[in-house]
Amino acid sequence: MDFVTYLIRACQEPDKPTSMTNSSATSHFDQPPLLAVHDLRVALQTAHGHVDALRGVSFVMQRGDTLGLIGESGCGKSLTALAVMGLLPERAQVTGSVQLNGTELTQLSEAVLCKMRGARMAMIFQEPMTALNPLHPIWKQIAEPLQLHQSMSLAAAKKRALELLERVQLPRAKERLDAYPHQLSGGQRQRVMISIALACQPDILIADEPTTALDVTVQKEVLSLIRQLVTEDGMGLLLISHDLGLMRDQVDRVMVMYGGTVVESARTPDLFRTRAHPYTQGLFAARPQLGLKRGTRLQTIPGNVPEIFKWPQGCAFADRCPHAQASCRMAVPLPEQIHANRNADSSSMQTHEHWVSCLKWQQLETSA
Amino acid sequence: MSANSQVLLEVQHVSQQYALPKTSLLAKAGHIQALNDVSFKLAAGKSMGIVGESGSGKSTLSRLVMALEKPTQGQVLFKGQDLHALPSNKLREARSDFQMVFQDPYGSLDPRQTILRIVSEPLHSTLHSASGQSLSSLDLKDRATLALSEVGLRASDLNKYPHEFSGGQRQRIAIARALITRPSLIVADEPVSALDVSVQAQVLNLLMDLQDRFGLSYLFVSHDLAVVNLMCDDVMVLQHGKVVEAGTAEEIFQNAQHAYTQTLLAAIPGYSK
Repeated sequence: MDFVTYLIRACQEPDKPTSMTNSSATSHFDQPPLLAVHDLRVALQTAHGHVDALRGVSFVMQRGDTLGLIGESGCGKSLTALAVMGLLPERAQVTGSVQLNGTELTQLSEAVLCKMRGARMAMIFQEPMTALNPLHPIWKQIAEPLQLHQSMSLAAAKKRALELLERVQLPRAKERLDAYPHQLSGGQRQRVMISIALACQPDILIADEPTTALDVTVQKEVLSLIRQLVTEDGMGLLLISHDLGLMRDQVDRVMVMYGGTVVESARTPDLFRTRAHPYTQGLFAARPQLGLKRGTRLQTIPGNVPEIFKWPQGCAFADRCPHAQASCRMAVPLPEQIHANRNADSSSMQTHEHWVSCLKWQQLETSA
Repeated sequence: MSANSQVLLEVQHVSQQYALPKTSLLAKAGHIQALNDVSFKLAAGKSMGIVGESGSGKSTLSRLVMALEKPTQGQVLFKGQDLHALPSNKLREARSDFQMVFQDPYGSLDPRQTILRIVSEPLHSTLHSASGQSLSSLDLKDRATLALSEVGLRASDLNKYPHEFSGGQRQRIAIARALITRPSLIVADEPVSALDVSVQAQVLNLLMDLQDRFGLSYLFVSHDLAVVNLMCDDVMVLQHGKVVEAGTAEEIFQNAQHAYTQTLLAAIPGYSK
């Protein structure tokens, strides 16, 4: 059974245990999953006509799940987030499905999506200085979604803004209600962004490189805050980052993206133990680690991520892969499962499995 | 640092104050102490890492070393010369011996200039005008081609524009621009923090290769301790403009003494000791 069918059955036939997991726990599946993305494809309009930038992304998220997306720039991480939020460029063509609590999002009109964005799903961007409006005090920017989505009065919204700022632990929150973004530091601005995202208690929080612009010490504070709030509210968190160490600390499951698809997907500790895809292995080998001797040359992945209209036939990674053979270029490899049937009584089924899309993975040494 | 190695750069008791804007008409303008009595030596062919958070004075220090501003106190000696005491024409000449690579490969290359113009810029501004020595356009092109080949780019790239290159390639162009004057010192301010991990590895390897080949010294500003550990012989940790810890990279990372250094280490994602 391939990955997609497996996911569909896991979502749609909750009572029948699939052949891969003898799950008896069905409580999760009495309701549709929080977020189910199935074979999502996005074609962007470029000078070369419509080009597939996402080429079949599938995953399922439950309440309280934290999912990380890693990969180089140009592999489709941010595009996946934007597709879920319905924020794709105007002429993008979307196929496949994105379901939030069972509601199909790809078919909704912009007006309906507008009502959901901020209320049901929210996003935190990388650069808090450009995401905030420099001309409005921060309380007004936190109040905006409350007025829009919950029809709160201005006074009530201001009161709620203070509660939210206290919740994101902004020091001296009361005095700072009237502050403008330029009067805050980067970490404080990111806390304001988080409070805006959480204002309407969304079901899903998407954070796209939320701490890349921040200092390391502040990074850790902001991430653990996000993590804590997500747990408290039972939200789903989709965290995008190219920082592998950060993923290890912050998410339960990681999906590695390359060439617009997910090439490997596993629980975080499993991925840090066993990396099956040559691309994942390359990424891990390339990062500098504290134990290395001065002057040690780092392993690199040869070449660059190709432009979307230049992706090779078959496996997108084939041109840069040390193990590629002719068969790799025939067709896009389908996801295969590693260690099938391992978590036989797991209640969350597919999220615990380790999948890889590589024809040769069994012949490669999985690096520890 | 071994005693017999030649000192290339010596920073002696450097302090830097910046005036803050007046808060009222009659009040005295306040000031901020960006650097407070910082001293260090960098030997030829070695690398010094400067670590600290934003606001710790890392960038101020690199601006002082690049002679882009004068310190309120103290001296910067480059090959024994006090850079800030040099007359402007001598300083201009001296500049070809120390160059800088910036963090943002998108912001630091002029989008309207060709790669030839960008890479040969330091030759225009130093050699050309200062010593009266004029380089023919053919020479310029040759030297730019050479610099590009040293960073793994091709001569055919000379007539292209920055937007035609990826982030990693742009950072190579920035490094070629720094190399073209054959400097002894390169000040690199977060040179890889804007790059993907795989590209970062390529650029770090390139920087290490160039050091081995040309005997370059690096003053390497970074918040990434793992990168500093890999690239640098000595490390200096700055906090609020002061040196809180300094030593060989090994000493610092094996056995950090200062609480602030320990905080920085503990903040590395995935770090456990």
